[in-house]
Parts: sequence; structure tokens; C-alpha cells
Amino acid sequence: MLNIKHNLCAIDRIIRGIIAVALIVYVVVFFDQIGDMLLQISILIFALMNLISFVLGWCPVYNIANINTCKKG
Amino acid sequence: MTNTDLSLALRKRVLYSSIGLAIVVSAIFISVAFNLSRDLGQSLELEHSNKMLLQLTKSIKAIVSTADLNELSLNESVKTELIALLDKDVIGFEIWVNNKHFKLRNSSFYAQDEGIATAINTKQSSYDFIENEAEMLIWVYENSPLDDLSILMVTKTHALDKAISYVSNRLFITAFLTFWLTVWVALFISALISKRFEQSNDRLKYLASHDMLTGLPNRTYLYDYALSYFTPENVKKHQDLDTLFAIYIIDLDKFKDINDTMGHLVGDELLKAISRRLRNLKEKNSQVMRYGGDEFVVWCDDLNESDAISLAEDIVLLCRQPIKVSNYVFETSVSVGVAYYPASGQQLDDILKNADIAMYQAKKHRLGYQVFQQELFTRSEFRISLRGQLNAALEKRQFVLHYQPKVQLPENNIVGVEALVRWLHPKEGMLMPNMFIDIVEQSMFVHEFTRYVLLQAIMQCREWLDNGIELSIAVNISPYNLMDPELVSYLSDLLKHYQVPAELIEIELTENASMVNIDKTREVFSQLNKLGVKLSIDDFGTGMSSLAYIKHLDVDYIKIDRSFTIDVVTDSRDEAVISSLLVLCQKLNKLTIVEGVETIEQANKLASLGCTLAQGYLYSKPLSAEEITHLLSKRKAETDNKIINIKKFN
Repeated sequence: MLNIKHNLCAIDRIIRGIIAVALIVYVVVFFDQIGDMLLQISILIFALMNLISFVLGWCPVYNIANINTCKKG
Repeated sequence: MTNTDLSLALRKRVLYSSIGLAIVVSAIFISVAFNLSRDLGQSLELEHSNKMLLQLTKSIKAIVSTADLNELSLNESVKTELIALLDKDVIGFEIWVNNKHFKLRNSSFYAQDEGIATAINTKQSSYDFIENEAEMLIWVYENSPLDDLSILMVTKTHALDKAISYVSNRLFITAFLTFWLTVWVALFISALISKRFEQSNDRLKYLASHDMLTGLPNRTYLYDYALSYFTPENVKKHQDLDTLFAIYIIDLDKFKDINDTMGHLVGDELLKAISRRLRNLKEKNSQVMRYGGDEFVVWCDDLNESDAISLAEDIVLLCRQPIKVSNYVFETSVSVGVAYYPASGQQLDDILKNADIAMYQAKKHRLGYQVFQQELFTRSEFRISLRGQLNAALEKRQFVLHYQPKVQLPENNIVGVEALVRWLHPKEGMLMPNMFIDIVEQSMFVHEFTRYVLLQAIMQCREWLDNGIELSIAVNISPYNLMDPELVSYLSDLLKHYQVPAELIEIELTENASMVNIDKTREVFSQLNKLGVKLSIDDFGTGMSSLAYIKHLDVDYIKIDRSFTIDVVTDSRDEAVISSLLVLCQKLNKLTIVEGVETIEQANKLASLGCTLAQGYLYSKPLSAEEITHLLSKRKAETDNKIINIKKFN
């Protein structure tokens, strides 16, 4: 069972939000330039994961790696 | 460095290594893919240019004959026709015919290119790419595709740019995603490694600080714990609040016997059972540890003295309950030594040492538990010091014999003496046997010591015989001496050497000692009997001997213990015991000697009960060889042979 507790600090969340939005915009705007469907889907998945982390304030990789940027010190 | 620091350092190292590796791999991947796409693009461009050049050459051949080529510069229509053949991407097209040079199209973009100049000068067919700020160009110089005709064509490239653009875009995205994925994987792996590392470390730490058999913390843990405990705060707490912490050293009694007789597996199970009990101590602030072997340590904090004693009692009672191990029920007992901080020591080593001293005191006197007192330490230190001096004392002949007479009642004639050892210590003065005999018995000098005493006694006997005094000397031996295979032969040699009749030597063994190994006692007594020396059981009545053993032990004397003599005048029970023993010994044909006679009333009472032999301060305290010799000589003169030889009496 995944324990969904906040493990992202505000800065971490904001960076992930920006990355998610930037990637989605990039895929939409430069759809033809990217060309490869696999790459397009990969970027979207990656963006989506960052978006989820942004919304929940929780990163599954951090959770597995036992990292918590909320904690100080 | 703590475990967490190590783990964190390891994680960082794994993470940075993974990211570094990802960057290097991505860079190699991008570089290879970029070069591949560029080479592919260049190859395509070259192929395209060659095809175009071939086509143009064919077209030129079709349009003009060789002869007309000389007139090419003059014939504008031919020139126009040729220019029309050129693609718009062709920015340079020059031909050389018969050493004449015609530029159908040219540009400054390649005018300064050294590669082109070299190819033209050396007339070697060649090609290359020219990269300028705006675009990429390819030039192809073909020497003599037709007779006396050389062509230079410079073209803008498109396939190359497009290929590089596509590959760059996708490579960038792929590298980005790969890099990010690698970071995640690195984080995951580093966490996994770190977790394993921590688990291994914790396991090692546990193994180092815990006893595998009982699962209890071990001595290492105790020292680590003490190191963290003796903080200024805790020291101040004990000073301010007047509380103490106590260390209990618990040692199982007779555990070695259980191990030896029942095997180590049963012994181990017993240790486990004891450890489980100790874990269940009611005291909340207590910690149980296995100190080693059959010793446990309980560390208990925030106590007052009555709590500490109460806990010691609890431990003793708890361990006394029968324990069932492998179908055997053991009624174990423990000896507990208690030492307090700060009263019994300021450092852990001191407290442990003092608790150990107290524990040995408890064990020695079957007290159950003993709280450390400074007096114990002084005594213990003194005993340790004596132990170290035993050998030297034997060599320097510091042990001397004193002699206490045994008398015949009611005349009080001296019929023999008991040899009692004194240690003439150069610093401590004269030491009584109770201060060193057990040290001797526990040492490797026990046989040597007894032989020394026997030698002294026999030499004294010889001296008295030379002076016309025939008197038996009783020598006490230790139960450990029964294990000396050379004892009997040594004694026999001494008797022969000094020509002392064997019946003048009496061997005394305490009742308890003789019962330890009855078969061995019987065997040695039998050998001594054959030798002719007299045998007696000392301190009779206080031990645990069965009367059957007395029946079977072939001894000459039974010495009734002084504890019955003390109150024989006032206590009818003591009187009953003594009179019964006298009758018993008479029936068994053994002589009795009553010890500890100190008053005339006791002597009279014993005489009235039919006691014929007695020993005690009433008659004489133990005297030095000179004193007793003087006394015996005096008596001899006074009574003129009234000294009754024990042999005659017998």
C-alpha cells in the first residue's frame, strides 16, 4: 500500500507544475516537429506524472526512495 | 560517523554516480546518433550531387559537341541552355575545357575555399562540405568526366539539414526523458541499497551487542550503554535527587555441574529460561544483559536503597522457582552482587568489580544476594594480594605450625596435638588459617602446601621423639588432597625418612569434605590405614553425612564439633546430641574427641557424659613449637611419664 503523505515542499511542487505545463504545451505546439508518437506519449506521461505530483504534493519515487523535501535539515 | 550518515553518504554516492553515468551514456548516445545522422545526410547529399552532376554532364554532352566547347563563351544561346539545366540550389557551376575556364554560375560563398582550390590545382576529383553561417554547401569537383572537360558544382544541401534537425529534436527529447528516468531509477536504487546497507548494519550492530543464545544485550552493549549514560545531566541527577542506579551481577550456582552432567544443550536451555525470567522483572527501569557464561547483569535506574534491595530479593526468588528444561526439573539458585552508583564507584568498571566482589561474597556464604560494602573490597583486595604471595610464602617457609593439645578427661593429660597452620606474614603479622586456607585450596599450591605441613609435622614429631616425647600430631588435609595420587606415597616416604612411627601421625578431614566424594575418601583412607596413620573426621555433626557413610569409613576418631560444646551445660538438646554420639561412636568402636571446651563446667559435664578426650582453650590455646615443647617437657618432668600416648590409650 502506498502511503500518500505530502513529501514535496512548495518549491518542488511549483517546479513540477511548471515542467508539466511546459511539456504539455511543447507537445501540443510542436506536435509535428516531435514527429515520433512514442516520444509524444512519453512526454505526455512524464508531464502527467509531474502534474499529479504537483496536485497531490506527493511523489511516488520520493516515497520509495524515502525522500521528503518537506522536512528541513 | 553514524549509521545514518554512512547511509546518506552512500545514497549520495549512488545517486551522483547514476546521474553521472546517465549523462555520459546520453552524451555518447547523442554524439553517435548525431554523427550517424550527419554522415547519413552527407552520404545522401553526395549521392544526390553525383547523380545531378552525371545528369548535367550527360546534358552538356547532348547539347554541345566537343568541338563546340571551345566556342562556349561566345555562344550565349548554348550558355543559356546549359544554365537552364541547373537546379536553383546549384550556386556554383564551373567548367574547364582545353585549359579554358567557364563560370556558368558562381558565388562568393565558396570562392575562398581551400579544398576547392586544391582540387582544381591538382586536378583530383574530390568533394567536401562548406559550412557557413546560413547554410551548408556541398561541392563536387569532377576531373574529365568527358574528354578535356572538368566540372565544379557547388550546391546547397537540404537532406543533411533536415536529417540533423529531426535527429537533434528527437535526441534532445529522448535524452531529457532518459535522464529524468535515470534520476528516478538512481533514486530508487540508492534507496534500495541504502536500505539494505542499513539492514546489514543494524544486523551487525545487533550481533555485536547481543548474545545469540538468550537474545539479551551483551557486555559490549553494557559498556556502550554506560558510555551514553554517564552524561553530566545523569551525574547531576543522581547528586541532586539522591537517587541511585544499581548494578546486579547474577551468577547461577552450580551451573558448571549442570553443564558437565547434563550437557551443554541443557545448560543453554537453562540459561535461556533464566534470561526469560529476568526479562520479566517487575522493575520498569531495569535492563537485563548477559555478562558472559552463567553471569547476567541487571542495570536498574532511579532507585532508592530499599527498592534496590527489594529488587535483589525479587531476582533471587524469581530464579529459585523450579525450571523445567528438556524433561528435567531444575531447582536453581543464584547469587546476586549489588553495587550502587555513585556510592560503590564512579566508573562502570569499578561498579562491576564491586558488584562482582559482593556476588562472590553472596555465593561463598549462600546469602542469595549481597550489597557491596567497602569492607568487602578491602577484604577482597587483601585476599587477592595474599593469593599472589602464596608461592613466595611457601618458598620462604613463612607458614609455621602451632599445636593445640588434646587431653584425656578427667586427668587432663596431653595425649596428642592438632597442628594448626599460621602464616607469619612479613607485613600483616600472624595470619590465622581462616584468612588464607580457602585461598590455598583454590590455588595450584594446595598439594604443595599440604606436603609442606606434613613435612613440618613429621619433623616436629621426630624432634620430640629425639627428646623422649612420643606424641601424635593431627594434620588437617583438604578434600582436594584426596585427589593427589602421590599423597600416600609421599607420606610413607617421609615417615620412613624421619623414622617416625606411622601411628604418631593423624590425618583429619572435615565431615563435609569427606562426603564430597565418598568413594575416593574411602579409597584414600584405606591406603592411609594400611600405612598405619590414624584417621579422624573433623567437625562431626555439622555436615550432611549419612550415618551409613560413617559406618563404612574406617576412621579412628570422630571429633564432635564445637557448636555442640558451647551450650552443653545449659542446653539439654546439645547434651542429648553429644551423649548419643558418644554411644554411637562407642558402638562403632571409634574414639570421640570433643572440640571447643572452654570452661571447667563444660569439661565436667562432658566427663559426666562419658567423654574421655577433649580439646579446647580450657586446656591450652594453640602454641608455637617452642612453647608446646616447653610445656610438654615441663609436664613430662612433673608427671613423669603421665603423658599418655595416644597409641597406648588406643
